[in-house]
Formats: sequence, C-alpha cells, structure tokens
Amino acid sequence: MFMSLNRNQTNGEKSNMLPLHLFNKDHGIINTMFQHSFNIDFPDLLFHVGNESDSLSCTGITLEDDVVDELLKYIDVNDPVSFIKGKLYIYTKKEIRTIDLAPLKTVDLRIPQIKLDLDFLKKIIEKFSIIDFQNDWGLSDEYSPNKVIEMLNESRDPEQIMKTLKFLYGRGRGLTPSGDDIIVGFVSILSAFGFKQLTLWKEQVGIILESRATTDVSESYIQAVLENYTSKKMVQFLKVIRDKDEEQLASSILDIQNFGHTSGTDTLLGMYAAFILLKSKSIH
Amino acid sequence: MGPDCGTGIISNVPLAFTNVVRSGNIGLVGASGTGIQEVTSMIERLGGGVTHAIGTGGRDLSDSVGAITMEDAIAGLAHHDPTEVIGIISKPPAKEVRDDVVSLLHSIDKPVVAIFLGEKPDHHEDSVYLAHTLEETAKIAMDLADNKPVKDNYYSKKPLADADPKLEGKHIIGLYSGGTLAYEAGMLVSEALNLGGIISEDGYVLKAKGNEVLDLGDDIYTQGRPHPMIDPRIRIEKISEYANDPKTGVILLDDVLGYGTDDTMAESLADAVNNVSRKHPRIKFVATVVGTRDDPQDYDAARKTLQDAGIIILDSNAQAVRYALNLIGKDLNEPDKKVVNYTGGTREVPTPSESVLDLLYTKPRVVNVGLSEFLDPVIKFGGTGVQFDWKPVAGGNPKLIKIIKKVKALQNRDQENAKIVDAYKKAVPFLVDVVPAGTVISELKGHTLLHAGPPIEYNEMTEPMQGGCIGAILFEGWADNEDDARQMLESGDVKFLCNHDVNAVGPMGGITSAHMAVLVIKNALKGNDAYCTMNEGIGKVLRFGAYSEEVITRLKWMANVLAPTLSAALKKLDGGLNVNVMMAKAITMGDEFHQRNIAATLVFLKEVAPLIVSLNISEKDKQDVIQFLADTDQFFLSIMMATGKSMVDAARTYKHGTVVTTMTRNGKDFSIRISGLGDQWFTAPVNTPQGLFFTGFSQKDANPDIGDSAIAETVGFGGMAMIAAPGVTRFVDAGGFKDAQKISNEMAKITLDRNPNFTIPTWDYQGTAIGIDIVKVVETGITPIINTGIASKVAGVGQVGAGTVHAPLACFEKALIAYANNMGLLEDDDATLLEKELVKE
Repeated sequence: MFMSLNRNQTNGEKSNMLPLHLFNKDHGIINTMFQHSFNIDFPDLLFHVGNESDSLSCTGITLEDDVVDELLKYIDVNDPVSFIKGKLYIYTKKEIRTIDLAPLKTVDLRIPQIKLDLDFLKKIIEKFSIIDFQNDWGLSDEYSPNKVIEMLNESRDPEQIMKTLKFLYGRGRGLTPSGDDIIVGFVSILSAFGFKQLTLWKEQVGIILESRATTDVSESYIQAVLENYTSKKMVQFLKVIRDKDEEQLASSILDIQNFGHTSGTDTLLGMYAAFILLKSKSIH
Repeated sequence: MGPDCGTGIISNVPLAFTNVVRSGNIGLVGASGTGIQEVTSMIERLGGGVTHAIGTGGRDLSDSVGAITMEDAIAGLAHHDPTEVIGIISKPPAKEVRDDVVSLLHSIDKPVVAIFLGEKPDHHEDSVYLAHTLEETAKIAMDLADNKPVKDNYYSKKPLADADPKLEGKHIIGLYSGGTLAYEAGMLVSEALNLGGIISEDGYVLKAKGNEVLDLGDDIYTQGRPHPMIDPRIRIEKISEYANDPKTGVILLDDVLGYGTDDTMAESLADAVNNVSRKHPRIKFVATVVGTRDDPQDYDAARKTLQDAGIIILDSNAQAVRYALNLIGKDLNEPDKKVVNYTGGTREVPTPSESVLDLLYTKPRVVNVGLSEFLDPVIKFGGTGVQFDWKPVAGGNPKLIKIIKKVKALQNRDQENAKIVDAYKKAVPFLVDVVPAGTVISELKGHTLLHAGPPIEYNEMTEPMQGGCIGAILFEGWADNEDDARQMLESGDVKFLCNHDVNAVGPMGGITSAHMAVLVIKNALKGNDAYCTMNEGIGKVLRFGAYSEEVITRLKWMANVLAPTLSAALKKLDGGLNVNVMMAKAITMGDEFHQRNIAATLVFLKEVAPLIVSLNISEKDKQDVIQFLADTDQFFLSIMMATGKSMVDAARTYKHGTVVTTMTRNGKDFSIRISGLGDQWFTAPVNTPQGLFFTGFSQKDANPDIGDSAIAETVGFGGMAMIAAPGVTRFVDAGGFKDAQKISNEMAKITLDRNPNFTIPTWDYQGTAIGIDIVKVVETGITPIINTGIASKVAGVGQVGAGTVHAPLACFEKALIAYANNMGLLEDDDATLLEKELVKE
C-alpha cells in the first residue's frame, strides 16, 4: 500500500543485531549523512543505512544503491525518525519516507568462534605482509605500527591495558579514529578465538567507552564488538580463516582494507596485533 | 475538507488555505480552518511536524451530521502508523456528538490532544489531553510527539505585560480574518472580563460592554467581495472606524499567511495602523502572525513589517489576547490540569475503508474545481491533479439565472444571432480611400471633435483624451496655444460626439477633427462605409494625448502628404484593397491585429508600394510615405479598426438578438452595444490594463482602459485571437503559448461561431471566435479579454506599456436585463431592481 520509498525498495540486508537495540516506537533523529549512507541516532543504537556497494554494518542495514541515493535527496540531519511496527518512518521536510525492514534479508553478524590452529595462524600472519602498515595506516609518522603492536601485545594487566587503550581510544581523525579501528580489529580477533584475557580486555574497553571521548559512529562499532557483533566483511574474513580457506585469505584481507580511507588498514593492524599475540601465547 | 473549513494537509500536500508544514508524527483533525492553521504553524515553529491535517468542515460536528467525517478521520489516523499523536480541533459540539467523539478518542491506542474551543477544561482524561487554547493544543501535541510528559500548565505564571497607564480607552477590539482565531479571542476576553460568553451575530463573536471581536470572514462581510485574508480593505476600514472611537484601548489583529492568502497583508495592515496611529497614538495594536518560514510569504518579514508599524507581535493568538488584557490591567486565569481516569465508555475503533487509508498513505490525487491557483501547491508538493474550471452560473445570482433561462427559452434568438454572426462572416471590407474626416462625416462642423468610447464630457475625460483634444484644436487652428485651447474646452466651446455614432472609430483617445485624414473602408456586404484616423507611429502621438509641435506637424504631413498619396494609390485599384485577403494572410503570420500588426502592415505595404512608386508625385513624397509605412508597425491597426466598424455597422442594420456589436471605452467607462437594442449603450466603469511596462514605468503610471480599438475583439481579433500571435503573449504579459491557447479557448466559450475567413494555424486552423453572446458572458462570468496598449495617465507621455484588460461584467449584465425587459420577459419592477443591485455591487 505504501508509496514513495517502498515502491523502489526491493532488496537489501539487515544485521541480526538490530532486534537487541531497536524497539517498537523508538524515536531517533538523522545523525550524520554521507555521500552514500546515513546514520540514525536511536536511544540504544546508532543505526546505519548503507548501500549495497558497502559492507553491511552490524548496527544497520543496506539497501539498493539508488534507493539510498533517492533517500539522501529527501532527508536532512536532525530529521526525526520513528520505528513503528518494523518500519522506519523518516519525517523529512517534505514528506514521510519509509523503510520497511521486514523484506530485508537477515545476516548473522555475530563473531564466529574459531579454534586456534598454529600452522594456519602463521599463514595468516604471513599473508598480512601484503599490507604496508607504515604507509597506509591512519596515524601519523610520529608513531610506528610496530610500536602499537608491541603495546597491545605487552598489555597484560588492567592497568597496562587501560594505558594502551587510553593511547588508542579516539586517536586519529575521521569518523572512526584510527586508534578505535585498531581496538575494533584487535578485540574482534580475540573474541573469535576466545582469547583467555578477552573478558579483561572487554571490561577495560567498556570502561573507557564511558568517557564518551570518541565519535558516535566509532563508539557504536566498539560497543557492537563488545557485544560480539561486527561488520559483514569482518565476519566473511573470520569465516575464511575458520574454514582455513587459504585461497580466499588474501582477498578477504584486502576486502577489509578497502573499507574507508585508512579505517580498513587500521582495523587490519589491530587484527594483525591480535594474531601476533595469539601466536606468541600459543607458542608459549 | 468540508464547507467553512478551507484548510487541509494530506501527506504534506497543502490544500487550499494552508501553511507549509514539515512532515511529522502528529496528525490533526479539525472542524475549523484557522484553528488548524494556528496549531500546525505553531507545531512547525516549535520544531515538530504534521503529516495530515484533515479539515472536516464546520458543520460536521452538528447534531444532524454527527461528526461522520471527524470519526472517519480519527479512525484513519489511528490506523496510520507514522502518526503517533492525534490532535482534535473543534468548537464545542452538541453533547451527544461530543460524547461519541470522546469515547472514540479513548478507544484508540494513541495519545490525543483535544480542544473544544469555548470549553475551559480543568483536567485531562487518561490519554486524552484537553486544551483550552490553540497554543496549548500545539504545545501538548509537541510533548506527546517527543514522548515527554504532559505538563500541568503551559501558561506563564506572570502576566505578559504591565498595565499601560497611558491607555485612554479600555475596550478591547478584535478585527480578525480567521474565524477560529476570532472565536478564541472572543472566548478569552469574555472569560477574563466576565462578559457572558461568545455570540454569533452579524459577524460579531463578542459584543459586550464595549468590547467587540469581529470575524470579518463571516458571510455578512464576504458577500460580493473577497475574504479578508485575500482583501485587506474591510479590515482597513474597521481599523479606522474603531480607532476613531475614544473608548478603544487595544485592537487585536491576525495576519494569516500561507497558500491562498494575500501576499502583502502585513504591508496593508502596517499602512493602516501607521495611518491611524498618527492621529490616535495611544491606541495599542497587538497581533499574531499565523504561518511558517516556508510559507509563500516570509514569516519573519511579516512580523518585522508589523512591528515596524508599532504593532506588538506575539507568538500565538492566545498570547496576543492575554497581552491585550494585560494592557488594560486584566489577566487570564489558567489553573493546573491533572490527569484523571476516564469513566465513560469505549468502543471498537471502526476499520477505515481502503480509500481512507489510500488517502493517508499516498500523495493526494486532486480534482481542483474553481480557483486554479490552489492546484499549484498540490503539484509543487508532490501531489497530482487536474483543473476543472467551474463557476456558479451567473455568479450564483438567482435573479440573473432566472432571466438567462427565460432568454434562452426565446424561440427565435438562435436564428437572430446567426444572422448577426453571418453578417460578420460575410463582410467584404475594402480599403477604398483616405480623406479628410470632414468630407465624409457631415457631423464634423464648427468646433466639433470626435472621441473614443461612449459619450463623455471634457471634464470627465482622462488626461490622454484631454491632451488629444488640445492637440486637435491646435491642429485645426481654432487656437494657437495650449492655454487658449484649454480655455475653449473648459468653456464648453467644443462639441463632442462619439466616433461610433458617426460610422467612425479612433484609437486610444480617438480624438478626430474635420481636417484629420481618415481611412475609408467600404463593406461591400451592405455598401456601408467606416472611418478611422491613421496610426501616427510610436512616441509622442496625439492618440496618447501628446500635442507638441512635433505632433501637430506630423498630423499635418499625414493630412497633406500621406493621405493624398495613399488616396491616389488606392484609386489605381478597381474597388480598392481587399482587406480580408490581407488579414487572412497576416493572421497566419502571427498577427492578432490589436497588439501585433506588423505582418499585416507589411502585406499592406507590399500592395501599395508599387502603386505609390507609379504615382506622378515628387520622389521625396514617395520616399517619405513608403518610409513612414515601413517604420509604422501598427499602421494596419487603424485599417483593421475601420474594418471592424464596417463589419458591425453592417450587422447592426438587423436589430435582433443578443450578440455584442460594439465594445469601446473612453477611459472612464466601458460600453457595449448589442444587436437587439440598437444604439443603446450599456456601461460600467473601466478596468485598468495589467501588463508589462516600458523601462521606468509601472502600474501606477497606467491610464484606465481607453479607445475604440476594442472593436478588434468585438469582431474576433485581439485578445479573442491571442492564440494567433504567440509573439504578443509575452509582450502583454499573458504568459506563454499554452496560456494564449487557454485564453482563446476560454473566449470561444462566450462566442457563437468561428469565422472561416481567418483560420489560425496554431489553433488547428480553426477560425477566429466571433459573435460574443451576452447570455454566454453572464452565464459563465467569462468576459472578453482586450489586448491593449497602456497609455500614461499623464497627457503627452505616450504609451508606457502593453497588456490585457477584461471588459467589466456589469455591462453585459445590464444589457441582458435590458434585453429581457425589452422582450417583455420581466415583471414590472424587476429591471429597475436588478439595475440597482448591479450598481450597488
């Protein structure tokens, strides 16, 4: 029956994390708009609406590219949004635009659990040599990737972990500061492998998040990882290593790298650090 | 929308008198137009939004209707998921209707804010929150929409102003254009001053102890004139009237913005207030502006304009009334309201029909009946629609409708009209000569001048015509300077006759004297002649009232060189020049023969140039004459005018029927003649043309409509044939090609036939529309449109622009009444009474 948007809305995906944070009659507002995506700030979720060409975020949905482009013509920052009976109603200046979540395909974005295999872990670490961290990461020359990896690996007690987190949290520029991306990559891998100090790390990350010292978007990604959810690209990578699919390894790493300006590389750095840590713990 | 509630927003498409409001989770149902406007505008200004505001019509909550539409709308909004809060705006309905509506409101699962304007609620009932003022309604709706708790009180504890010790009068006067705003003001003033409640008498909603609140949109004030939201005059009159009353202390006003309302209301009100404030500086004016920043008018600019005039502007009508009360030392009492349990019954919410849901979930598809301007915002805001032009027959005047029926029942009228139209179609006009007017118009003896339009005295003439008279006297040598000429005219030494009464026509002022040259057209159909002075070109010319030496010299050259040359040339042809042939060619070349004659002038020049060259006259005269014709784009206008006159005069020999046989104007009056009533004039004040002005001139420079050139439209040319001349439509500010087509199609609705002699390529080769029937004009309310040059109202300045002007309807109504009377169709006093009514209008 609905007009406007739904006339065009045919395909798309939604994260299976949404029901945990988005409830009937929730009110939100358009928080940020980008060239091909936007975020809606709900009380318990920074909801991301992206297009198919991008990776599905665990905090949102993707729609066909032209549908998102059409929506972006109508909406504006601070437009109110209501979530009612499974539909998002965006109250734009000119008219209500509607996104029906029901027809979207649900994608499981929980971090898959992976059993550690030292040999394959070594192969993964080797594959990371295709990434030129020093030149491609988002932090300036003032810092060195190896130093950051070292910091992450040597943080063992809550105090050290917090010190490392304080260095990384919110550091760098952009919507998702580089330091935050590193944290997301690092914690995602530790979560997938059930690293024994994972809880400690998560507790400290939870504490530092309370300081609200980073961007809303970055915060929502870190929060999602704490809840064991991550992006579709990360999940795809984790499935590749779970399945020990050596052929896909390089391409799934590069897929992550392609995300954002330096975000992908920064996330990979965190992941790389986690693999190093897992390897050293495993060897010892 | 129902009657008495011309406001609606459906899916954010503004319908009729509506403000531009962003979409939102609030839905309104209202039985009052300005009530909806005040609440939606306030919600928008407070940062909220409204997607649907459904106007039910003022009578929906009556006993007999029983709130059918309101209940449909409530059920619809209850099922419209994006609407999370529902607002109800109404005057208090009958108890049973109210109880029924309230039980429905308690049966839906969305919070509701309701105002039954006139009631003073002291509590809320569960999820139904009861407001006292429109402002409180908007504020409660906003809190509900934002999931915030509803406050106990939305009114400032402190008064908004201190009592003004300088106020001489103590009475509060409300002069409102919005009915519900007036009602709210009346209610609040009555409550504060204990005046016994509101009334509904003769446009007053309050009239007690000198305090008066008027709804100037009441039927009593809007009969025969536009609503005060469109036309500020009634308010300007009332502002002046009440300001002159020494007991008036504060005058309350509203300025309602949005679609359908006047664009410059704030300026008009500010001017009126400025005028009276000079005389009565102690009267306070307090007002509210109803509107949003996205309205077609500028909300902030409107506030500033009013403030600059010393008017105190408040954010809502309720605040404005309270401020006014505070100024006279009084205040409102607004107690806290708590939520109590609702004890009445609930019921099953009716399932809305598919059509209601379709209405709410899609953009409206609109059939716009009547004022086409209301369709524009529909399209602009994403709706779709079609225009259906409709007006009540004869403006809804029952007496005229009766006359139309009787006249239409006359058995012979169609055949009689056909004979007149036939005479137009079979006219065979030839340009046969150019001669001094006095040689063919025997009435031009002594100090006699001819003028355009119906009879008029010198002192009634507008300046361009008076200037033409002075020029004619100087040309004839009756006086040798302007002062003496003016003296002659003012002393009554000059006799005036209408061109039309002596087989002649004249452009603009139409002043013709004995020695001026006139073109002679012979209509072979009846062998009658018609005359018109020649076009003098542009710039300073007699027809626009100029009389400088340059003008007189040119007139003399035209009489002494141009006329004899053309006369001699024409005499070389057997029977003169066939005008129909020239016009048939020129109409396909983009002329409509009133504002555009360049093609016809060139066709004429093509015919006469070889003849002129063959004459035995000086080379200089040949060169001068041909150069003059080549330079004078509108030369053919006068040929066409004389042709038109020859056509109507041939037709007028048959004195039956209801076809217009003359339209003309003298700057004061517009007059018509009809076939069945011979030489009788039917007259009404002329309109002033609207159009485009030359650089440095504007509408204020325009002289009222003047000239015999409306003979063009009488016989189907000019504005009637706008479609033939796309080049002209821009020049006369009549829009583009489609607008020209629309105009001509509309003109075809008041004519009886097409003239096959003049087919128009851009009109699928249909002929010009001819035979304006007064019955069709009065029945449809469509009056002929005249393409015209616009004269400066100052003599001698000349043409200042070009545009269009409508013939006044009253001429046609008067002619119809006279015709019916002449045919014995009226009772004894009917004609006199009807004439009086028309004069009153």
